[in-house]
Amino acid sequence: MILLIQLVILILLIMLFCGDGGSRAIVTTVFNGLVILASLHAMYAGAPPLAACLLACLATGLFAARYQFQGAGQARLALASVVALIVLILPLILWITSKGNFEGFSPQEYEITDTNGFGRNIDLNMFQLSASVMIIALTGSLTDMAIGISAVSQELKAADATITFSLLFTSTLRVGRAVLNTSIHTIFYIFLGEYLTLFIQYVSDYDWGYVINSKSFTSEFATVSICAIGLSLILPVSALLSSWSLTRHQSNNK
Amino acid sequence: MRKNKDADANKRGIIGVQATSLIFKLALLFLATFLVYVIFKNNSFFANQDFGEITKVQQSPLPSQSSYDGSHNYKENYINQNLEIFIESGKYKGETLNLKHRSSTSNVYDTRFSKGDQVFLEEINKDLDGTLTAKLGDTKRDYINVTMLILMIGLFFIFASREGFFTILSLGLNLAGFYIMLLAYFRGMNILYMTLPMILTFGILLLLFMERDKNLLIANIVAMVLASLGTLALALLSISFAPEKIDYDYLNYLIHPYAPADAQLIFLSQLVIGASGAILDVVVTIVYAADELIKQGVSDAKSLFKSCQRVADTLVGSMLPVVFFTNIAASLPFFLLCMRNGFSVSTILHHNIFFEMSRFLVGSIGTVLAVPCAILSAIFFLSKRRQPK
Repeated sequence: MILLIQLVILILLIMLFCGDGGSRAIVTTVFNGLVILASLHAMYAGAPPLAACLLACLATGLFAARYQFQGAGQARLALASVVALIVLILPLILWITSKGNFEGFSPQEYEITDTNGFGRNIDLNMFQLSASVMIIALTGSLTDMAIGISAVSQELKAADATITFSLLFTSTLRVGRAVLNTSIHTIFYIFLGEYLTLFIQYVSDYDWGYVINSKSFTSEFATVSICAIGLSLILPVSALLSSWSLTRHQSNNK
Repeated sequence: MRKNKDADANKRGIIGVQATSLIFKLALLFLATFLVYVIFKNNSFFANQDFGEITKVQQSPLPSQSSYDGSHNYKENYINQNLEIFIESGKYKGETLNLKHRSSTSNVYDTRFSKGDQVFLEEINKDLDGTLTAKLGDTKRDYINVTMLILMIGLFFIFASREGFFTILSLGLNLAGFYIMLLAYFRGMNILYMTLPMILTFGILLLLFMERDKNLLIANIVAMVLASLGTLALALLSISFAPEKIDYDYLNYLIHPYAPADAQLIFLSQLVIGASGAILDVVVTIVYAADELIKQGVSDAKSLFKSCQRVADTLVGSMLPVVFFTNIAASLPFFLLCMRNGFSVSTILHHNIFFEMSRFLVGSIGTVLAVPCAILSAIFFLSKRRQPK
């Protein structure tokens, strides 16, 4: 019931204060939720979690580019840069997950145990699931910033139609720094809110040496750092792609 | 024509210098990362427990176990791992040890070791016949965390430059502030009464770092405070108007036993913190856009409102997925665990991952509520000073 009330408040606010984009955002979020549910069902039915997750990210990205941003050029470029970056960071994600041994649940999660009805004999690839969690969080954080950077690029090009590729690229990088700063802030606070209770446990029960080696801290810190690294890297990647796309026709006119 | 060629060559020169500088910075970062990795992988001189590296893993199957979730049977395979461990610290440094370890293949609650993992060892003893025994501890992960930290901060500095320094500083201060707040919480102080002012203070501090213009600063601060308070009010409203009581058992990582009133304050604090990031992002973007519009001559409130709304449209559209995916990503393993233990999807959504869903919804409410707060604040504080004299 509480979730329903919050959902109604959200939809009311969007209808009141946002225009078409807001209504499209509602549909996109519903679609995203359905895609996640569908991929969960696929994993439940036995599909490899990593494949299901990558397909889900692709589906949500394509839908956002086509529907939310109505196929605008900048949206397709943003999607391309997000895909490129995920491919780039995937080896790092797999390295951390394999070295970190943090798949599954930690002793800090008091409620999740065999005796509470969450039995362990489920024959699931938790390793791939761990990697999937990071990929989904990464996709979420990257799309907003990629769109922002592409928009910056487009604005700069609109202000000076004869701008060269290199100047557009460096200017986009410079202006995009502000977007990077606010994006880092946003995801930092979201993750801090999510793990507040875990920090309470750490401060009250454990010492620093235990915490830095613990499963729970590593899995959480891995997700946060992957998202932060992704955000830092999507600035040049997205700036490069959008600058190239906006100026590639110019060389023909010289 | 010649002048243009020179100008182009000049620009290419600048790009060349920048590219070289970037490559140099990246090389420096990778060197630093590699150094940190090596140091922490071999930190026997300051680790407070003995550890070793697994040099060989021999696996043999154990009897499997099965479970039934109401519609499917699952067969969980168990394996026995014979681990050969090279001791890297303590009295028996340099010697080899053999230990047995039992693990499942899913690893829901246990760990499967691989060659190259570092593990902690407790109570290393030498038997009368010279064989070493020990208790197998958990995986050693400090080098991974520190490596990721260096990589993260380094890349951020490289691409965010000077502004990045202020962000890192503010985030570091945030964490320090949180630590102090938690210490006060353990002495009995109300966590929500501390969280809200602290979040707002740090938001204001960050704005002070970023913004020089007094009017823009005030507009940002007022909008941020209004939106945060509004979001908290709406969250409280949704909880009080619902007939059912929240079951805080599934608030992940909550210390048991707990007092429900205390748990509620913690939950509300989580909502406030999670929403504030998105609120700040939206407020700063819209106030900045409004300022640009006013500079370009848009002066009456109505058209300013409409133009800002268009900016907000795209912004909300790209921010909602961020709030959605980052909040629910971590709950997916638990979701699947529940599904394979026979829970229905609707039960999972309403009980087991209730808090993640709520954090997403309240975060989104904050994002959207920041829009009118920012626009009204911008109109009130910015358009006044731009009035033609």
